[in-house]
Amino acid sequence: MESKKEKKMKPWVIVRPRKAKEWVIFTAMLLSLLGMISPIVNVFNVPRMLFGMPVLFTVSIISLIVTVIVINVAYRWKVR
Amino acid sequence: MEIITTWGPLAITLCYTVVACVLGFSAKGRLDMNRVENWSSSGNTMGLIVMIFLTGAGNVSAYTFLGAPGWAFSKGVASLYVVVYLGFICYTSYLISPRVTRLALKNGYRTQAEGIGARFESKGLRMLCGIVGAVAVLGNSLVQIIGCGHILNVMSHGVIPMWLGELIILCAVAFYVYSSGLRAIGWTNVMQGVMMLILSLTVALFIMYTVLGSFSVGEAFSRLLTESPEHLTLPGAAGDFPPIFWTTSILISVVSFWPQFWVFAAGAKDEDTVRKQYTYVSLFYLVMVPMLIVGFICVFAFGNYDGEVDKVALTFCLEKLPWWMVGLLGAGILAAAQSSAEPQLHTPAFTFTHDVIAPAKNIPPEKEGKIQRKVFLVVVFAVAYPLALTNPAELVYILLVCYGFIGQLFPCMLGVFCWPRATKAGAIAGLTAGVIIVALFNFVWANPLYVHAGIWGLLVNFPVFIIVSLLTKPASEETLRKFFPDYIMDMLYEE
Repeated sequence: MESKKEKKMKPWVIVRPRKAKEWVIFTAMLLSLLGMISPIVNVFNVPRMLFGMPVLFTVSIISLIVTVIVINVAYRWKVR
Repeated sequence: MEIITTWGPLAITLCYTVVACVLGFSAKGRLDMNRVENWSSSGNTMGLIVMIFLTGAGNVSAYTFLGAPGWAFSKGVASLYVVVYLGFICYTSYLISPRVTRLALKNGYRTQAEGIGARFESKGLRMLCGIVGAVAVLGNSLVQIIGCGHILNVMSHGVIPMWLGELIILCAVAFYVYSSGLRAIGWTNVMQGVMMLILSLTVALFIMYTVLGSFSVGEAFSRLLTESPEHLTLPGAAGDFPPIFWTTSILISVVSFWPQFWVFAAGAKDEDTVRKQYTYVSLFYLVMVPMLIVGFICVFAFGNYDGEVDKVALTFCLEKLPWWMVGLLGAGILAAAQSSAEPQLHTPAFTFTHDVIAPAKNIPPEKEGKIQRKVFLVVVFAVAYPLALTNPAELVYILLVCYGFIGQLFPCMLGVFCWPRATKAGAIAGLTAGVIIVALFNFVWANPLYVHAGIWGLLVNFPVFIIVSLLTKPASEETLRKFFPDYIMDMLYEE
């Protein structure tokens, strides 16, 4: 009797962005995160004021607002 | 009049606690809380507003009102890392949480450990994840319990000792969470979230006007620039938060998908409700900014303060604000601490019963509900409370240590939702290695080279997870079909 042959799994199949809009959102998420960590954060790490607040303080608030914008665009574009 | 100004703030704070108890108790409605799905997941009845506040207020905790201003006072802008990572956590949650809701509605996986255990076909891994998750969340709950102790201690001018303050608030939280489960957490979080928003803004404006004679944030920071410029940059006034620690603290926090996030998502009405909440939640985190400004003002207006850093903002407000506003602030801080403590005590009890006790003793689901609520009381009074009494560290540091441990579940989460080839052996090996490294780099050699211990853990966890997975047998096709979309399954196997 012939035994049932076991199917071989491909190792590098992963869930990832596929459509253009998904890539745009993924890139926006990545860039906004990279903008707030080393080495880019060093650019904002200066004892100066921006809009009346320390630069890093202001940029941190802006990063929070950026996440709101990116997630709203993702939701409207139906990026899941 | 003196009695009112002295004890009025404490009375207002305690009144708030009574209101929270009544609201939480009445939240159960007609749901039978002895049923596991009702107490633990609210029977999937939570709508958009409740979900927004459940997540938003749940993440904004005692460290927002106590720890973060304390760090602004002692370290400076380093304290802003919390604002940054809370925003980025929404990315992770936006992508993962709706998938969790789908799994919960379709297959009934109500805890993170249950989902991971089912994906990797392993009861042992489910129990391991249950223990790691429960311990980390419990650790995080200490932040809130200690915060509650601080509030009542300061409000009562030291008459209520820390241990008694912590016990009073724990009794209140235990009362309504035991009665109404996740529904109580959702309802009270809505009230607590609204209170936090209003009070943090009002208090900051009041403090600015009292100290500076205007509402100018620019003036406050100009003065700080003159008197202590090191507060405006990393590594901060204490010199211990360089950009690399800022970076790795943000990264570990962003990849940390807490067990209670899974429980929240599993309790939602549908996928779209969960997705939609994240379009608004980040805005809620702006609630932290006014209290951070209060912390910065304390640097030049309260520079002679030499008490515990976590209490600086509260002590300063006690001196500067009218009694009724101090009372409302106390209630607001208590709201922040309670809104986070509730899920952080509920989730370990749930996951410990559901993922450790029930599988180990083969307890049927119909009996699990009653046991869960009893375990909840044990978790609160026999574990969390005694641990909080030891007052292990500053609030923000406790939080950072917990993030290190919970971050080690990230590769497992990728295995659940992104990489079908991940295996049980890979997940167990990676998680074990990661947790050992995090423990070593927290308690033996703290954050070597200013890289967060959690990131060191992931640097070992990920390679072990991938290599061991590739060398061992993957899960069955039947199991993988529950977790991955059809297009992935169609291309997964070689012809």
